[in-house]
Amino acid sequence: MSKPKVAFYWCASCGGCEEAVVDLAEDILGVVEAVDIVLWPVALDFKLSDVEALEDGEIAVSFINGAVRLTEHEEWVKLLRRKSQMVVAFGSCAHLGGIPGLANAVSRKLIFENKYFRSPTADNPQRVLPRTVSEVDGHELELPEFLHDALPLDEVIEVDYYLPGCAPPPENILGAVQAILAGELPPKGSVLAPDKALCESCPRNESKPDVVRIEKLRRVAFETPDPEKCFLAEGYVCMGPVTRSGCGERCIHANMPCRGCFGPTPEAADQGTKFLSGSAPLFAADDEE
Amino acid sequence: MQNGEFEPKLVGFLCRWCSYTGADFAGISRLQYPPNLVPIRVMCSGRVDPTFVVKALAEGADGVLIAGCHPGDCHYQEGNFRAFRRYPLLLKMLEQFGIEPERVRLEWISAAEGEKFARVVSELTETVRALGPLDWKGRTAPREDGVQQGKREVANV
Amino acid sequence: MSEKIGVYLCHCGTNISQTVDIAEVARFAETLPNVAVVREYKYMCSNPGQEMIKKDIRELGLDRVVVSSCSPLLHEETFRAACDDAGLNRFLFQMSNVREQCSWVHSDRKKATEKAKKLVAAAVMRVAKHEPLEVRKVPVRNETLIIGGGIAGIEAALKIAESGKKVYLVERDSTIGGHMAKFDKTFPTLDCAACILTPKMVQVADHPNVELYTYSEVEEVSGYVGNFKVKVRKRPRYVDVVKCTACGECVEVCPIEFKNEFDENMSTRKAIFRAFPQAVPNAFLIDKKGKAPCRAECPAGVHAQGYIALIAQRRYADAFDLIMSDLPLPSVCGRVCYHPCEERCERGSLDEPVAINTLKRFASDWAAENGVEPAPRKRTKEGKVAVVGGGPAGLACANELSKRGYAVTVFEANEKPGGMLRYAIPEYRLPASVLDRDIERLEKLGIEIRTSSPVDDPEALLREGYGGVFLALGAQKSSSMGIEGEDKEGVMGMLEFLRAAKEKKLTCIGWKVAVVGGGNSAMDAARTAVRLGAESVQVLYRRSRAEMPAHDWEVEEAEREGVLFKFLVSPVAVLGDGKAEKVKCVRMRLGEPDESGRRRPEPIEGSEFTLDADLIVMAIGQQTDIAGGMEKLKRSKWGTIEADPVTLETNLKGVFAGGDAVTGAATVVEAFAAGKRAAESLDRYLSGKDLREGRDKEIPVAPSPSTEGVKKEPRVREPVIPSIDRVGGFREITGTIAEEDAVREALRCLRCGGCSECMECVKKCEPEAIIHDQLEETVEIEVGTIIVATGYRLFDSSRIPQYGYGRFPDVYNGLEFERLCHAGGPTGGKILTSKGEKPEAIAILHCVGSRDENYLDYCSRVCCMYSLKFAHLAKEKTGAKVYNFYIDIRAFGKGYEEFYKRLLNEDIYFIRGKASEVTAVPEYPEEEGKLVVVCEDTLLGINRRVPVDMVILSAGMEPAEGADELTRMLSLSCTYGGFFMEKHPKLAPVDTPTDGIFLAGACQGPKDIPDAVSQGAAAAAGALSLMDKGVFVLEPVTADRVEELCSGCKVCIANCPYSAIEFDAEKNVSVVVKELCKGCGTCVASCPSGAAFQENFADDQIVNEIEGILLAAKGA
Repeated sequence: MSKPKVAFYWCASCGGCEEAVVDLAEDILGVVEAVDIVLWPVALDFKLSDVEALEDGEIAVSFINGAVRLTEHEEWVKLLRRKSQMVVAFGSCAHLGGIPGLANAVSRKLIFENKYFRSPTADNPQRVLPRTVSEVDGHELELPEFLHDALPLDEVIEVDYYLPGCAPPPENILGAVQAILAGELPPKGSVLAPDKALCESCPRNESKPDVVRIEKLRRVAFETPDPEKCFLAEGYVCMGPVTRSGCGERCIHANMPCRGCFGPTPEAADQGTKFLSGSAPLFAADDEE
Repeated sequence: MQNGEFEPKLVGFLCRWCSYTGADFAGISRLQYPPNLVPIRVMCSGRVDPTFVVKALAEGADGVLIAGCHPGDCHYQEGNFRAFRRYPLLLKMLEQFGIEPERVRLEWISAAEGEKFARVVSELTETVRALGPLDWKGRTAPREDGVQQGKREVANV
Repeated sequence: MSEKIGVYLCHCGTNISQTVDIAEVARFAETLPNVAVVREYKYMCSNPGQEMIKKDIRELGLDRVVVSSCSPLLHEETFRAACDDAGLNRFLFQMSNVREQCSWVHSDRKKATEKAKKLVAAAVMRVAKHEPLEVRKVPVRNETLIIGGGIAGIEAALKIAESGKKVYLVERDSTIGGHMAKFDKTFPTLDCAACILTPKMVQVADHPNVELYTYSEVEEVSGYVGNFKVKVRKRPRYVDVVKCTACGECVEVCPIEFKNEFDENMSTRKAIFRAFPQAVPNAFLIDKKGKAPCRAECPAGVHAQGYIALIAQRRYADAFDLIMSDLPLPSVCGRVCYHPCEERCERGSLDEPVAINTLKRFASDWAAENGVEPAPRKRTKEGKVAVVGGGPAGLACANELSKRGYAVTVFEANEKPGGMLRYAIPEYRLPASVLDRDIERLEKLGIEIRTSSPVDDPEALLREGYGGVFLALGAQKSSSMGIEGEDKEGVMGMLEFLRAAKEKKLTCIGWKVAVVGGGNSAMDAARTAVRLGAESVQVLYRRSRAEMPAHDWEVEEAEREGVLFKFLVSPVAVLGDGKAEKVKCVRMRLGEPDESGRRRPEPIEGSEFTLDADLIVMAIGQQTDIAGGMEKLKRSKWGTIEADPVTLETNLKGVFAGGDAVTGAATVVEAFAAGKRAAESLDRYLSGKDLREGRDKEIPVAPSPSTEGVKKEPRVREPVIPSIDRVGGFREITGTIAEEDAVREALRCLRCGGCSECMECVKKCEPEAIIHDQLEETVEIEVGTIIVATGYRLFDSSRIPQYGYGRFPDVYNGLEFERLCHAGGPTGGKILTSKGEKPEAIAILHCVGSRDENYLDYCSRVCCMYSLKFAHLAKEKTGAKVYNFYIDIRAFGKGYEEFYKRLLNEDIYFIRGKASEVTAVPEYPEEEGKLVVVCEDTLLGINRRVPVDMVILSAGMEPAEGADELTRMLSLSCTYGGFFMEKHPKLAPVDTPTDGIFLAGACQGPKDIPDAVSQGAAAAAGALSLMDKGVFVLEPVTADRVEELCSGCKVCIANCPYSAIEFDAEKNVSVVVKELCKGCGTCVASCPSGAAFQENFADDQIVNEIEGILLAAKGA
């Protein structure tokens, strides 16, 4: 029997998620041994036609990272969905929109203006903007269109599992792959991380006073946090209370507060407002904001 | 929308002790105010999770009122102070989303202030009417003609 | 699971249906998810309406119910009960308020209907997420707290007490009775207020089920219905209510007078007083603002304000007696004390401090001159005590113990007692005759003084039969500097020098004297040397003038007497051939501050110089010099005796020590203080009491008194002999002030403490009921219900300046006029103008403050009637012309209109028109010397000026002072004007929105006596029905956690206003303490990970409600 086929694809992403796969280091050899990679644009040269040539459902699992930002992404993920038995939204951007998702707060027009005109490195006297169709030497050239929104994967295709993190820790990736290979999977739609928030596993939670009062708001850009103490109690904005655990507290160990890349816990509707709701009353009366 | 005029859709979170009673008092006093705001009763303004506000706005409300007891009069000692702390941050966040902070209003309305309740609802209605519809999704990233929309619904493959 | 929801739309007669198209709402409701049946009915809250719901639950198997009708605050309970009846959990119900918040407030039928749809949709969506909940029942305790002892509180207390339940009645004033006790007559029956009120007051006080806390305030209320915990702060009355027989003897002797608040400040009362003769409890109390600052500052705690007050009353003997009870040697103290009391004297902040010490000297000298002896001492105690050392500490201890009834023997090693007073204080400051006089007096009082009787072994005294020993050995040795040549002749210690001078064994004629040191004893030595004929006297001090420990005035006097000062110098060697001839000194500079905070002097190298000196006096301190035989006593590293700072116990049982021997050299008054402290210890020791318990727990210092209206006046100066006459001898420098000066000076006292603690009342009080050192006490009680009956306060008429209240003495407010009419009032019931004349014309102004948008919007309800009562009383008592200036006459109560009619026939003038002004500026001759009321007579349509002799302002009612504090304490709400809000203005006028708390009387709104009494009874009934039932059902709204989701982030803990969340460190989760949770839901909103939820206000329920509203909005 042939090895299960696996595809990796990247949409609007920084490449960190791809890097995370490489970070499996020697473990990757085990993975490669167990599976047959049919698509991995960052590492291997496969073409669209190669994937199109596959049977529907032939791919056992596709790991897709990045937000859907271009019509090209849309086309690709829909194709992969058709060809795959299982799709895993890989990393924060595919899971929730991530950093590219922040662009949704402003209009496409503004993004273009900033990128192509205002950016200090932009050299664009003709004020050329990307166009879907352009003519070069008499040939019509078609480029993918920049979508109106950056979308998390599950707003474009059906997603079976989510592997959170920016990027997902290698151990989690390995765990997920092994679980898939072994067929030991949680209910469809699950996020492959614990349900409790990060504080639960945070090594600094013990240093947190029972009644947290924030006297002064601090920023890591200006001060170095105490390496033992709870960030929040010290006044650093730490998303730990609102963020899924399971990341291995990598940031915390590096003396950086949690930035929330694992997304909200299952019961919290919105990570941001929840954080606001919980932490705003902790500030001393005459604090900034 | 009636007769083409925009009717703001407003959701109000009223604390059970002061503001909801104040709204009842407005009723008992037969004070007239615009019908745009629909009240939701909570035990305390401190119960109002900003998530609710965002939820309401995202689901189609054009404005939100949070009303609680006057500072110092909170039935729960200082639940209203919690609400008060969340409020400016919430406004700031909405502002970053491109939403006018005037759409969300926090007011202290006592059980005796039926008149104030009526006034606040009238004011908020007019403020939001002047601002126009919220259109959360359009607002957070205004549409341009000819741009292909990302599809929100799950693709049927 | 799919729910079956029944939706019931109420018409509320036409209340809802006239504005809301119910049929359309019904059609809409049918389209909502899970709705199984929609019905409408005229009155859903009626029995048939409820039956309809019950039937559907039973027959259609509904598992959720929505009623769209009025406010849930009104009928939620009705429909929940209906669900219950039909076997459906009462919390699977939701109500939408389409009356108060829809049909009544909107007139556009279409829009109102749209809103009603939204409301119904919200309720339908919400109820789908409801879950069955269990109610929590809490037991209700059988005690009631009533706050306020006015007529409403009294009535409530009696009703509850009669039913056999316990009542705690807390009243802020010293007596119960409230405002009614001040009234003369009551309208409309004109019966005497006291006659109908006082029996009720007595009945309350005597009732076995009533515990009365007067002069007390509720400080904190916690808990919830049925189980309130209350802290009551009992202010000290300083009189034992049980022992006091209300004989009033104390009042006669009290020297302090204050304005009498009960008479609205129109008469005076003493510092010991009772509000009025029928006060309940009928006991006196002392108006003590606290410990007077002068006494607080005095190390020996001398009752300075007391003797000052007595001197002001020319009661010098009493003053002297008081001083003697505090101090053993009053004349001495009046001369040598450095009087820290005067530093603290509040008068100092106005002009100059009262000459407290001078007054003490005056009283003491007056007593000596007039042969007045203090009250004889009685030996009442068994034990006898030995005091070793006849200095100030020893004598103070002896005096105090003899006062307390002990036999005391003082053992003095020298041939004469007095210690340092005798040997170290120069004659010019303290003549020996004065000291002898004071000591002889002590001996006459029965204190045995054995001179030339050194004691080696204190334990031997114990063996001899003394119950206890106080060692007051003093510091007898001058410190030495340890410099080269110190042993030469001509170098003396300060003590030896002063003693030699006192014993006239020394002269310094023609000598050059150098005194080393900068303290008071250095000044004494220097000034003594001047008097002994020295050619020159130089004081050498190593720091600068600013650091000198000597009192400024001592330094100034010394300078005036010719003493020279050399600062920043220190002697390093005494030079001379066998005898001192020169002192070698080094100059100093000031370095860094040392641990005493003073800058440390450092020698400047190479700055040495020499001075000529025949005599060098080392005045740099004293040391204890303890004789042999005391080896067993534990000492400190400085050689002083070690004694407990509180009890003065030494390491030897029964042996106490104090004064200079323990502390090192200190002041006379500190020695007195140590002696008194030792006496307290010995008294406790001999009577087998604990030496520490409750010790040093003292009443707090009085706050600064108001100096408003106090005229500035310089303080008295003691007569002083000119410096030129001084140096020739040792004549006492200062003299005693004259009697008139003393009285004038005493009157300058601001009486900070209120009561002066002169102790005269104590002397007079046979039942020994007076407790001057009583402390504030906080008692904790637990009650099931609370009735608030805090009443009102009168509107402050001075807020309306044009009426002249506070400016014109003949403009009175209502309560003042009540007192003027009252037989027990300031005029004995005569209505007289401020000149003491019978008024010929009286104006009564209605609606003062009330019905006035500038002040109180509301009608105070009682003013019309009490104005009529005043009119009647004024007419009856004076025959004057009486004018009523009114807007409307509101005579709405039973018999009120009749009373008004009666008045109309009593030749009283009624002028309809609000007075615009009361002026004393005449425009016509007949207005000369009169007050003129100006108003527009709206019936005649003319402006009028009515000249009168007296104006009564019928001021309105405002909530009592402190009502806002109570609002917070009890989580009450307020309505207009700050009156407490009732649960429902018509149907629940004595209930509050807080379960278990009821209102009675004017705290809920202005009302007259019959209404207040009715409410008192009604509130009692409310409380009784709760307590009789014994349980209260709490709404399930508490918060909780899904443990599996809680990350232990602790965010909720800081968000909870009640500290009702604890952290379980073992499980790493937050835990809600259900008993403390009040159900605000703040923690739920704050839970970052959605682990928290609130019963009946769950996130999904509220979110569904939002969705319902917006779903309906989309449909619209």
